[in-house]
Amino acid sequence: MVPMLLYIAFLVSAVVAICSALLIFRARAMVDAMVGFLIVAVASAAMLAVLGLPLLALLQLFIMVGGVSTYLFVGVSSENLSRFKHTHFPAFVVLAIAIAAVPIYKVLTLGGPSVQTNTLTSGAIVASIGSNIALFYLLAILLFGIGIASIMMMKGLKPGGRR
Amino acid sequence: MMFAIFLAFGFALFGVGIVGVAASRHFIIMMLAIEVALSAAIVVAAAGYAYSAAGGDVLGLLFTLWAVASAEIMGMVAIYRYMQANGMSMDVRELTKLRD
Repeated sequence: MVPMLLYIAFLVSAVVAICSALLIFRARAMVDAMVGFLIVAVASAAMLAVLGLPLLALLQLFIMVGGVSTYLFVGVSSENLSRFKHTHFPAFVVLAIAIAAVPIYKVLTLGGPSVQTNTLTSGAIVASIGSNIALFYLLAILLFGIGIASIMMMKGLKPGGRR
Repeated sequence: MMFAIFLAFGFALFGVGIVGVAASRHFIIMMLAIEVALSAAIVVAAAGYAYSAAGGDVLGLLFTLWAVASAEIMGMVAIYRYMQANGMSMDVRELTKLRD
């Protein structure tokens, strides 16, 4: 049951991450591209949680708070300088499929090992911060929310819209 | 099999990031594409760590990747300020003006 739930969580995170990554190159407003990147960061943190590495997922979230905030500041302040078609999307899709297909074909034909117990997945992390991990995640999500909402409120911006 | 699926996802996201650099000419979008590729590298490294019995070694690699991502942001801010001070747009084709 649990492996099936993990598998579903992995699939959801993977689809969300890839779609959000595509949104970055499809977005017209820079704010939308930034939101796409933010979702990629959160989805990759969810991947680490699915792998049984909650501490690394938390670190990923905290580190990406700074990155996403900086990109938001720069993206929002360059909004007036960004009114041009920036990505050749058909060429982008064809190239991305071509580049990803070769290694994916190779690794999917391999038999993989099962997950192992090591330093970060054993009882040490669970015993030390396990009881407070939800609080840490809440803190990280709050930081993301406050940072992004304050920038958007400050500039009076709406995703997909103009001021 | 799960390990292979994680690797496949990592390669797919990495492909999106790398091709994004090639297909886009917006400075910030290109930086975001590099960040996407770095996120893919982090997922692949963490998957390799989770599926190995040894443990411990990948943390250095992960911190290196995070440091590279942070350094890239600082570099981006510096170049952005320079472009803005010289009245350029975010179109990287105008970066040739940096020679002047």
